[in-house]
Formats: sequence, structure tokens, C-alpha cells
Amino acid sequence: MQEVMIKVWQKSASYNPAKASATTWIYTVARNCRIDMLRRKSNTQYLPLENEYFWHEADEDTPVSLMRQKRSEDKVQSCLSRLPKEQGEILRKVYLEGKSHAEASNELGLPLGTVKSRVRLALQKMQILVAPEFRDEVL
Amino acid sequence: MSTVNHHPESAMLVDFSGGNLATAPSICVSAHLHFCSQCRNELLRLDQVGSNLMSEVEPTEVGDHLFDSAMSQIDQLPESDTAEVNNTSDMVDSRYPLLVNKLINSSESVPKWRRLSRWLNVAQVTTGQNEYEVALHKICAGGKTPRHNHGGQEFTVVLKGSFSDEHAVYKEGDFLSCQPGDVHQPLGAQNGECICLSALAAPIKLSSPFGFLMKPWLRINPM
Ligand SMILES: [Zn+2]
Repeated sequence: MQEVMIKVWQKSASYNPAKASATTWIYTVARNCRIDMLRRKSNTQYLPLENEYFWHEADEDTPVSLMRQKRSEDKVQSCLSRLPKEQGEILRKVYLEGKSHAEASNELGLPLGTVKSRVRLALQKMQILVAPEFRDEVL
Repeated sequence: MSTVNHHPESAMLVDFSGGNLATAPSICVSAHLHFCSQCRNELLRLDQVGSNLMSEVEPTEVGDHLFDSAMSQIDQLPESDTAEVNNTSDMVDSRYPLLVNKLINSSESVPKWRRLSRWLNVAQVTTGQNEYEVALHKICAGGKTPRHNHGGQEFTVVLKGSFSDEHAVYKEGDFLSCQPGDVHQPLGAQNGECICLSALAAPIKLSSPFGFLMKPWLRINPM
């Protein structure tokens, strides 16, 4: 927690309000901070990499893309609260409890495929998957 | 406009966005994101899901002492470190993802190409984890690699050039995921060498000290 505060402070210079809303930005700082802590705990060897090299800046910041982003944020927000319980449950495991799909499937005693398809249904409702036809998965 | 055609499945991006994907697969997803604006945008929306869920959580009171001690640590923060300059390997390429170049340059031992066959070279990189072997593969122009079976899950991202197998042609930025038991035979494109980054899950411990180098191509069924 303290570490997150410090990171937010450190990184605040790099926050660009044109690219992400403040809450999304804080989420990414908190997530990256958690990854750093987990890696420090579990690494068996020297890790030559800073976690920040894994992440990419959102590239588009034209007014159109910002409008699109605002719209998708609203969509996400309004859909999240109306998701069927079992879809929301898994998203919360992933995002709040730090469980991977595989870990969530173990914990809930559900096949991995079921967990994946519940998440996918939720993402489709929130219109997060841009071009599902490109994905090599059976819907 | 992105010309990438093969993407990681959405579950992988969700795990990546949630911070729950292991280091080696994360390296491959991150390398793909460098080439793929579609997935970068998808990731942004997934992060919005994370931030919305996070803001549902009841805030907890932060005691004064915690705040004071965080502030005093902030006061003591060193000025941001200048990036350490390492030996620059001739394997780096300015068009590669930054992460990949960092991996090449900061590996404990400088990665070197080792010949696996007439057509195929491999160079392992250090990533600080031991669940996956992470390596660059170089397939020579027109090269035939052995038809092989995957002992463990393998993720591959094309960094340069292209190759094909029975299923498709894979170009710069394309992401492939092979499950244990999948069989394929990659062929290098005629018009130039192909360089890929791959992470292979290690299901079996090999006793030979160089066994790990052979493993991605171990199950060789000579034609
Ligand atoms: Zn993609």
C-alpha cells in the first residue's frame, strides 16, 4: 500500500491526462507495483528487467480516439454492474484477487474453458474485444 | 495500421492486464503489443475494467504514521537512475521491442547464436525465472526446420522476417501459441532470415547441460 503511494508519486510526472483517465492510470501503477513485489519475492535469479519495460503507452491521442476512449470507459462502467453474477465473480478474482484464469478455475472447481468463456462473454458485453474474428478461438 | 494477423487469445491479455501472467509469457505478450495497436487498445480497455473494479473496493483508512513514513521515503528517493549502459550486442535491432533489446543487452551472459542445424540457430536470454526457457530463434532464408512436437506450451512472436507452417504464414509481430502435443514444421521465408522470440514451458528436466538448447526442437521426426 505504502509502496503504491510512493510509486504514484514517483510516476506522477509521467502521467498524461490525454492518454488515460486518472483512475485507470492509478490502477496500472498499483498493478505494476504488485508485479514488482511478487517478482522480487519469487525470482530465483537476477531479473535484468524493470517491469515498466513490459508496458506500452497508448499510442493514439487524437480527439477522436479520446472520445472513443471515454465512451468505452462509460460502457465498461455501466456494463460491469449489470453482468451476471458468475461473470463478475471471475473478473473480480482476476482483477482484485490477483488470480490467473487457471488459478480461478482451480479455486472455483470449474473447467478452464468455462472460466475463459465466462470472461469472454463479459468482455463481449462490454465491447472490449475489437475484432474477435481475428482470434483463433472458438466462441 | 497494424498488419498483425495472429494475436494472443483474450484470456492471456486479461491475465496480463490483471498482472497475473507469468514473466515469460508476459515478455511474449509485451513483444506482440509493440507491433499490434489492436491489442494495445484492447489492453487499455481491459485496464479500464481493472480500474473500475478497483474503485468498487471500500477505501481503507490510511493512518497518519503510514502517510508520514511514505512521505519521508518519497523525500529520500534518489533522482531517477540513468539507464545503465551495458555492452551492446549486435543481436539488438532498433525495430525490436525495447523489452527484447533490454533482455539481450542485460542478460547475465551475453547471448550468442548457437547452431542447432544447418538452418536454425538459437540464443538463450536470461529472464530471472525458471518456468520457461526464453530464447531467440533464427531461421535462415528458405530454411527447413525439423517437424517437431511440443512437449510443453510454447509462445512465439516473430520479431523480423517471416516463416510459415502447415497452418499459416507468420509475419512481424504475429503471436503463436502451441499447446503440448501440437506438431508443426516451420519453414523460413525465401526472402530473408526470420528471427523469433519464444518462451517454452519446461515440463521435463533434461540432464544434459546443453539439453535446454535442444529442447524446443527436441522431438525430431526426421523426414
Ligand atoms: Zn494483437
